[in-house]
Parts: sequence; structure tokens; C-alpha cells
Amino acid sequence: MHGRLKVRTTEEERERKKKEQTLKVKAYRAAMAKIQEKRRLQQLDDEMLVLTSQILLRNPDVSTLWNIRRECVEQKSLNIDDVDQRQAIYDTELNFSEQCLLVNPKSYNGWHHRCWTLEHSPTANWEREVMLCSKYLKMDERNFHTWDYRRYVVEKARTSKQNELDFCTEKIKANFSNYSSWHHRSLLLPQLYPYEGDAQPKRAMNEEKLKEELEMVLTAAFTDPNDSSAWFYQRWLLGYSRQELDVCAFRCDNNRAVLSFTNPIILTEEDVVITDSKGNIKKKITNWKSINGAKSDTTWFCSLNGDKVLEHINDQYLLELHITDINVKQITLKTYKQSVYFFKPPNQSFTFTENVLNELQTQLESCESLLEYEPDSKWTLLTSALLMRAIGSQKYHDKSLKYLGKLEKVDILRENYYRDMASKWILEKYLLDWTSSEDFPGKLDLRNEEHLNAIFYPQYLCIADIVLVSEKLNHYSDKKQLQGFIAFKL
Amino acid sequence: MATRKKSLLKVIILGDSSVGKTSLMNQYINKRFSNQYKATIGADFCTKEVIADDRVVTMQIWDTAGQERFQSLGVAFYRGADCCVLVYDVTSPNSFKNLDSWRDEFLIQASPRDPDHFPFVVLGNKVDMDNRQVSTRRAQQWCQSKNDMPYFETSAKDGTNVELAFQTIARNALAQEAEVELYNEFPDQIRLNTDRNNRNGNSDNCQC
Amino acid sequence: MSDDLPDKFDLIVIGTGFPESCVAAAASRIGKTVLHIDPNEYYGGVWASFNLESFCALLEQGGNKELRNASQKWHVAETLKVAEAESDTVAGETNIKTDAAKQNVLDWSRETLLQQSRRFNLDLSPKILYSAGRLVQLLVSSNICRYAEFRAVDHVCTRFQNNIINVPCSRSDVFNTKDLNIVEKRLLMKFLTLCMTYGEDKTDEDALQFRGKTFREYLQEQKVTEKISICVMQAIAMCNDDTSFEEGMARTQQFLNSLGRYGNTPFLFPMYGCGEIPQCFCRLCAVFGGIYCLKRQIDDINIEADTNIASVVLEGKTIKAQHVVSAPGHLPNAFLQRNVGVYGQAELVNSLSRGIFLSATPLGSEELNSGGGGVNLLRLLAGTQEAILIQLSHFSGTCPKGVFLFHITTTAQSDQPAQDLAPFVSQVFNPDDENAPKLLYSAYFTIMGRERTSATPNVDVSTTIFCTSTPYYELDYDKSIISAREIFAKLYADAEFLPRAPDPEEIVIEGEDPRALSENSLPDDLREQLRELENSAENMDIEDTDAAQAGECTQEDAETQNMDAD
Repeated sequence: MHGRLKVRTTEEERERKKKEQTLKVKAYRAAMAKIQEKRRLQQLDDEMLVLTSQILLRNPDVSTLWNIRRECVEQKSLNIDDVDQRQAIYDTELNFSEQCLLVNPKSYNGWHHRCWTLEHSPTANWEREVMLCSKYLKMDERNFHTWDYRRYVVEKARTSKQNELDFCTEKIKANFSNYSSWHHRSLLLPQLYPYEGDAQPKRAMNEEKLKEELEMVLTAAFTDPNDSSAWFYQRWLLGYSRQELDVCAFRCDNNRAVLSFTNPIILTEEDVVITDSKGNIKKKITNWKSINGAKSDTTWFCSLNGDKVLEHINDQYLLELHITDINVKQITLKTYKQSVYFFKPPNQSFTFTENVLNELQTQLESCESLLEYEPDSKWTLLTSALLMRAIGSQKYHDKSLKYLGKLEKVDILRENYYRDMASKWILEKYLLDWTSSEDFPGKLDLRNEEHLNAIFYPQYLCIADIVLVSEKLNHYSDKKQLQGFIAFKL
Repeated sequence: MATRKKSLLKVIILGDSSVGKTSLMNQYINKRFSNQYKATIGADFCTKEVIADDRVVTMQIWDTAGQERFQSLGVAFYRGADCCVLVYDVTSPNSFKNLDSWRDEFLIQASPRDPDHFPFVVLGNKVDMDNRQVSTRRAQQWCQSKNDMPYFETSAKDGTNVELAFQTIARNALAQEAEVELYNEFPDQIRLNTDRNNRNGNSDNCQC
Repeated sequence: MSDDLPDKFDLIVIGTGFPESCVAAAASRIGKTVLHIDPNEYYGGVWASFNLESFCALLEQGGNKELRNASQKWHVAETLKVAEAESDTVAGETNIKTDAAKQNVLDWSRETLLQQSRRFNLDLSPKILYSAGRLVQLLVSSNICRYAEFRAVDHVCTRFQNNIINVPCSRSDVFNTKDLNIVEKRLLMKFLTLCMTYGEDKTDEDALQFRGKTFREYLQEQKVTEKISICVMQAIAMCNDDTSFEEGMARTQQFLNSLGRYGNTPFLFPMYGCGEIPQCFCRLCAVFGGIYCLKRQIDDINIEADTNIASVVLEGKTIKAQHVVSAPGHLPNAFLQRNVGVYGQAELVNSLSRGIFLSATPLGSEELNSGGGGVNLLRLLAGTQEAILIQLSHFSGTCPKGVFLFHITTTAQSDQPAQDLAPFVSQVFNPDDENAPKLLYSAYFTIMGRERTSATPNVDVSTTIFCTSTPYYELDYDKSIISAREIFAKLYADAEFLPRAPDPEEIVIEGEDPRALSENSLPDDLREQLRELENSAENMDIEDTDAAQAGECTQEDAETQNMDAD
């Protein structure tokens, strides 16, 4: 009929596509064969570049072809002395990889080729690369390839960190569900606003800035509580990161010594010395053994074979450490029965300045008022609990545990996660209270802590003579730390 | 999801009715020619992937869809053209004479930012015919007088110069696209029904 | 020229406004022969966009049948004073100062604005599209969308305590706004999420509880603050105190369904103005063989009594058609006097009061106009009346850089558009408010519409002539599409309305085997490569061992598969 167009049926279209596919495979094979032949003959010429372009522009993930291109470029620039002419060769590569990255912005090969090109070219325009990243991040603000590459070129271009932070803020404003941009922030802020106070563990950044960040991240969290990226950033801000390396506990009598750290380390012979108060070396402890036989461990012990290390138990003894990553070099030891010891319970709350504390308090109030509307909101419950811990773990101990208990019920899928978290908090509190109890440090009795489901800090337990745990924690009994100080024998 | 955004070049073909605009397009894209005059039913635009200066570019060639027949091409047709192809019929002096007004019409309607350097390409079509009426010299002179527009003599019927002409069109259109354009800060214009626009913060397909 | 025209068509459409173009495209698409005429020399009729010069000229001549009560005023001098003009060219530091103060009324004159006339696309009937609304759906489903480009509306605004504030509608808006505290943010997000899922469960308590009540009452029951309530009522649901719960909820859902598709708001504006939209439909009509003739006068239309075939007299030539569809203002007087039944015909009355304003500064805070000014939407209220204000910056392709274009539309109350619009204009362009944009130019006019009568006289099933609708007071094109579909359904009862037009690649060329694939459909380089290398590759195939070949194939196939994803 007049005006009617004939359109291919799906069947016809499929057949046509199949033929097209066959032709493309043919063309592809022909090109690949030619490339391999040329490479065998070491013909790394312009024709080779053209051949590889044709394939790479359609599929930028054939690594071999990128390697061949690099060989071609090196070959080509070998005999050229003129800088501009050489630069032109590399510029072609830059344009080319940009084209390929438009086809697949997540091509590892494409991004790598850019790095290679820039590193080898006579002059590299790093500012242009930063702009290129901005362009690609405009198309997809969550492409982690681009963020990685951005960090690389920003370093080279010496872009001001403040500009980077502003850029990052813009991206978060546009879409805060973006792990990459929060991560980018977390790398920039500690450099731009370093923490200069002496709280331990150290704050991630200057407290004034920390306050702003906390505000921003809570806003994100409240806007969309189901977006996990903001919550992870918040936890980083609140200091739930890896603890800094420090000594947790030390105990020594004439027969044995045990020393434990917050994180696993490799303890060498030169590291530990016991001195008297005048600084005279009483004993250099050398033959440390890791408790689990691992090369790196949190807990180390050694046999002293009845050396008279502690001649006068009432004297003052000091522990001297020569470990680079630990700031504390000298620790005053306390006496217990025929032994000396040191104990520092796990860090559980932070001493924030008034300013940050106020912000945290305000945030906690916001969360609490929100809980009136949404009593079962899991993110609000968790945040409240975390905020309480950050403000005052002692003060809010029971309440924060109550929230975790509620979370176990409303978020049943993560029930064990909350239980573990509760166990951690309970043990922290127990260890703190233990230091002022009369059993300290001889006996550690965890049998009455019914909500303790796991032991997070076995390295703290090693200084007790006996550790008593409940039935359900029995599977921990193979942990050597739970056997108590007396058991440390070779 | 891959964010694909290749360069897209919009090329429009102008000229009197029946100078062979649609046929030229068909010859270039499908390598076909039909003698039947069909007043361009179904002719809309054609796309072709071309490689020019080491870049893959999608060239979109827009036909007038017959709306020029009664001088009724709307301004919408001219929007966003990267290159304009002016076609006349070498056997029709009138169609050659009208090139002037087609060119003017384009500059008024499309109002390109830099009218003096806007890429035009002129094609004298139907060189396969015996009754040629416009001489090559005359056409070339006119093209030179208008900022030296490239000129090709083509035959949509036997394919003479068609490939070459469109290659030039692609290259000239591309040359127009300055680097500044690539890095502009403007929000992008939206085309409906293309996936790439449709990817706003879906937290469930995390790509971080 | 008319002599070249065939003398018989299935359908003649008079007027190239939105509904006429819709019907013309739909008819042509199903294979009907269509002649599409417009007495004007431009497309779009009362739906058209004009450059500044033609717009001024149109108002100068007092409009036309469909546009009346026109007035315009320049608020700037005829030309720039010499001193001011020169201040721009002073070299050095002073120049920087001038640049900073560039957005100043004094920088523009009637002359300098008219010099940029072509950069303006002033809409007579501006519209804003919901990203998932009826028009967008139609453009996508019919594939007409390939003829147009859009700009996302940057901000939806509302007036709160005499300030213009951004209505936080997207997730990132809620995150960024300083107007809400974090608890309010959570409440708003929660409320919006609730609305999104509302109705999925038919036994929803709210649905029963609020049936028959107003949306306002529902909002009051929700735990939201006054500010949130105003944002939702005024800008999201766009309702008033009397709007029913069901309608308010439906509108809120329409808003929310359109969110997150393109830009930061649920709305789109066509690049270069709404005048582009009818032209897109016309192009589709032309692609399917429709014939276009602008600037043609219709002298008369006669209906043959026995066959019911219409004879349209077009500049002296008679052309026959099964049906005629016309914009209300374009039916010839001679025909109207004979009082023949026309479907949908009615007297033209004042329908919309329109104002167009130009300013050198945008409306509202810097935040609402970041990056050089936004394309913003603001619904204004004055008593029981409401108006829609659209602010356009040069990013929309409707005005030059440095100028902001404002459209205000309200339902006509009188034949004095300036008076109808005064309560709204004073809210935004109050000369006493130093933050309000200073006007460079203002114009008022009335868009005429069909009087709403219940039935048209003399119309029966055999009616050949149809009259289309005029622009409605609505944000999007919903009602206009419905009325165009209605006419189409009367013309071609069982035909599909604008089925998807195939992409060029899908079309089979005459005489071609639809299953065949010519080498030509391959990209140039691949084709050449194939030809060039086929021979040498064959030679190599022989050299290669079979095993090596077989091992490679699978990997290659996989890679080519990727390649094919192009």
C-alpha cells in the first residue's frame, strides 16, 4: 500500500544478524591473522597501528593488541629526534585510547594505555587529563576506574587538594550513593585537614572538619537510609577503623614473659628489654615465640628458665620497646604476686572536643526523635548505638546494647552481626571493669556474661592466671590465650 | 552499564526537489539506485559509522522528507546541523541557481555560531546524464566565491564520487567540533529513549 | 505551484498546531494520503515559537484569529547610550568590573536584543513535559522522539513566606537543601516513598480512611511539617485545598514516577521551545508521504451531498478529500456561513492569558540559578487563581546568553491579559523588590479557545469535517493528546494510533531480500579490511595448524561477540 514501509520480520532480522556476525568474525580473523604475521616479522609499522585500531575501537579489551601498539609506538619514536614529532605519535595514542574508553569506559587496558602513553611521551598535559576525568565522571560518576585514574593524574598535575575536595563534594551533591567519591574524600581530608591533637586513636582529621563531615554524612543517611555508602563513611568518621598498633598487655615472672599487641606484628630479638627504674638493663628478652606459631601475631611469649629477672619484686621495673611503629618506648610495670605486668584495656570511646561532642549529641537527639516516628528503623537504631558509643561508652553501655538487642529482632538477617558487635562491647566493658576489680589480673571470669558470644580480643586475656569462660565459648578454649598466663610453657 | 557516547554528526542535505538527494543517500549507504521517482517516501535519515582522523564517528544524514517541495521545510529540520550538503542537478540550471537561496536559508534558519566557517559541501549530481547544462567551471567558481566550499561532481546512479564526497563531509564536519566543545560544562541535551540518559542513582546496581 | 498537487487525498489537515499535526502524522503513518496545509508561513499556529523580531511583529499587527488582545512594552532604551557602550571596551582592570556587572539592564537595548532576534524562540503556548508523561510516552512509542532534543528542568520552585524556594524533589535535592533539617528530610523522603508505593495494596488503610476527603486533610494527618506540606501541595501534587485525596495522590504519583529518569526534576522542556513539537509530528507525516504546503489560503470547503466527500478550494484549485481536520481558526468564512455540521466546532473565546517577559537576571536565589541560570518551574497562587511560570535560560535554546525568558500562563478571566496576570506578575517582578528581576521587555496576549459547549449542532456520524482543540490550561499535553486521539478514532475507528515508526536500518529497500546482508552494511573499514585481507588470510589458514586454530576460535568468537555489541 502507498506509504507503507516494509520492515524486516524478527526472523529475517535474526538471519541477517547472523550473516553480519559471520562477516564480522571473518573480518576479525583476517585482521588478527595479519597482525600475528606482521608481529612475527617484527613489522611494527603504521599499517600495524591501523589494524589494531580497527579491532580495539570495537573491543578495547584485547590486551595483546595494546601490547603490540606499545611496541609499534616505541619502534616508531626510536628514530625520531624532533620532540614535536615524537609528541605527535603519543598524542595519537592519547586520542585513540580516549576513543576506546568511550566505547568501554571500564576497560582496564584502555586506562592503562593512557598511563603508559603519558609516562613515555616527551611532554604530558596532566591538566587535560584531569579535565578528561571530569568529563568521564560526568557520564558516570561511579566509575571507579576513572576515580583511580583521577587520583593518579591529579598527583601528577599537582592540582590543589582543595580543588579536588570541592570536585568531590559536587559529585556527592549530585549523587551521594557513590562509594568512590566518599573514598576519594576519605583520602583527601586527612591530608588537607590533618589532626593535630593527641587523642588515641588519632582522629582522621581536624575536629572542626570532622564535625562538618559528620553533619553531611548524617544528612545523606537520613535522606536515604537504605544507601549503605554513607553509613560506611560515617563509621570511618566515627573511628571504627583499624586500631593503631599499640601494646595491650605484658606480664613477666622469672619463668616466662608474655607480650601482646592490638594488631599482629613480627617481633624480633632486639625489640624488648626490661630495665630497673635507673635504666639498668635487667633482661633483654630475645627468644620470643608467637602464640600460634605464625610469623606475625598479636601475642608473643617466651620461656625465661628461672633467670632471676625480677630480683626484688618490690622494685620498680620498666619495659623498654624498640618497635618503630609504636610511639610508646617506655612502660612502667606494676607488680602482682611474683610478677610484673602492664595492661591497657581496649580503646572503646574517644575523647572528642566539646565542639564535636556537641555535634554528636545533636545527631543523637535527631536520631532519637526520628525513632519516635520510626521505632524500627534499623539504620537509625544502629547509628544511635554507634553515636552513643562515640559519646560515652560507659554512660550509654546498657542503652546501646538494648538497641543492638532490638536490631537483632528487626533486622533478623544480620542477627549474628549485631550479636558479635554486642559481644565486642561487652568484652570491652568487662576488661575495663576488670582492671579495677580485686581479681585483677589473676582471674578473669567471663562465665556470667550471658550475651558474650565471641571473644574479640583474646590477646588481652593472656595476662590472667586463669580464664573462665562459659560453655558456649568452649570452642574458644583451643585459643592458647584463654589458657591463662600459667600455661605459657614451651 | 557502559556509558557510550560516540561523536554523532548531523548532516543535512538541501537542494531542489528531484536533484537526487535521497538517491545520493541511498547510493552512499546501500550502494543502490532506483530510477523510480518516489518523492522520498520513508526517507528519513541514515546513519553510518565512519572512521575519520582515527575516530569512530556516527554520521547521521538527514533527508528533507519531501517537505522542501512546496517550500515548507520547518526550522526544526535545521537544528544542530554539523554540516550542510547542497545538491543541484547538473542538467538543471534552475537547481544550480537556487543553491544560493538554499545556502542563505540554511544560514538564517540554522543560525550557526560561526557562519563564515560553517562546513558546506556542494554536490553537482547526475553527471552520468548526457544533457549536462551547468559547467564544472561555473559551479567551481560559485563555490570558490562562497568561502571556497568543497565541490564534487557525483552520480547517485553509478556511484561516481559519492564515497569520496561523504568522506569529505564527515571530515569537515568533524573538524568543526572544537576541543572546547568536548569539555564544556553545560548539562547535556537529552534524547529520549536512549539508555545512556537513563541511569540516575540506582543504588542497587552499585559500581563503586 | 498548487498545480503539482494531486487532486485527491484521504485527509486534508488545515493548521499545523499540535493536535492537527498529531492527527496528520497518525493518518499518514497508517498509509493514508495526507495533505497538510497552513495559511501561515510558519509551522505551529498558536503552538508556534517565534524569534523576537517576528514575535514583536505579530503583536504589532494585533495578533490573529487565535491570538488577540496583544500588547507589548520595551523597558529599555532604543539603543545603548554611547558612554555605556564604550565602557565595555575600556581596557585593563575596569573591564573586569564591567564583566562582573554584565547582568545589568543597562547592557541591553531594544537594538541589541533585536540583533540577537534569532537566538530567541518565544513560545505562544509553552509546556513542560513530565518525563514519564503522556507526550513523552507517545514520542517514545511512536519513535518521533528521534526528531527532538530536550533539556531537563533544573528546579521546581515554590513560594514560601515570600521567598522562592527550591522544592526538594529528588534524592539529591533533599540531601542538598538547607531549607529542611535532617528529621524533616527523613519525613519528606518517607512520605514520598509512601506515595510511590501507595495503591499497590488495594486494601490500604489510608485508601479507605481518606476516601471522599481532600488531599490537604490527608497531608495534615501525615506527620509532616508546614513547609513540607506546602511543597507537596503547591509544587508536587500541584493541587489546591479542594483537591480530593485520590486526585492529589494520583498527581503526586505522576510527579514521582517521572523522577529519576533524566535530570534532577521530573520535567523536561524541548530544546528551542515547544514550537518544535508539532514540527516533529509533521516530519513523521512527511516521511510517510504526507505533503506539506505552508502559506496557502483555503477559499472554501464544499461537501458533496451524496458521497460526503469534501472539496477543498485551495487558491483556486479544488482538491477532494474523505475527511478534513482543521484548527478552529482556519475554517473559511464562506464555509462557516453555510452552517454545515463540524465536529468539535465552537465559538472562539478568551481562553488563556499569557505574559512573556525578558530580563537580564534570573528569578530567585543563586542556588536556584547555579551555572548561569536554570530552567525552572514555579506555580503561583493568587486567591483562588493559579498560574504557571516557566523561567528559561539560554541553555534551553530559547534566548541568548545573558537574557532570561519568563512565560506566565493563567486561565483567562477577561479580555485584558495584563490585568488577569497582574496578581502573579507582582509576586515575581515587583519593582520595589530589589532582588526581583528587572524587566527588559514584556508582552501580554490572549490565546483564544473553543467555548465549552456540551454539543455541537448539526453533527452526526457522517460528519466529514473535524475541528481540533486549542491549547488547554495544563502543564503537559495530556488533554491535547486525548482530543487528537479522539478525532483520529472517529476517522479511522480500528486503526492503531501512531505505532512505532521503524528506524531507517529496519526498513527493507524495495527489491531487496530482507534476509540478505550486503557487505555494505558493514562499517567502511571492516569492509575494506575484509576485501583486502581475505586472500592473505586464506594463505595463512593453510600454514596454521588445525589445533592452534581451533583453540583460538573460541576466544576470538567471544571477542567478536563483544565487538558485535556495537
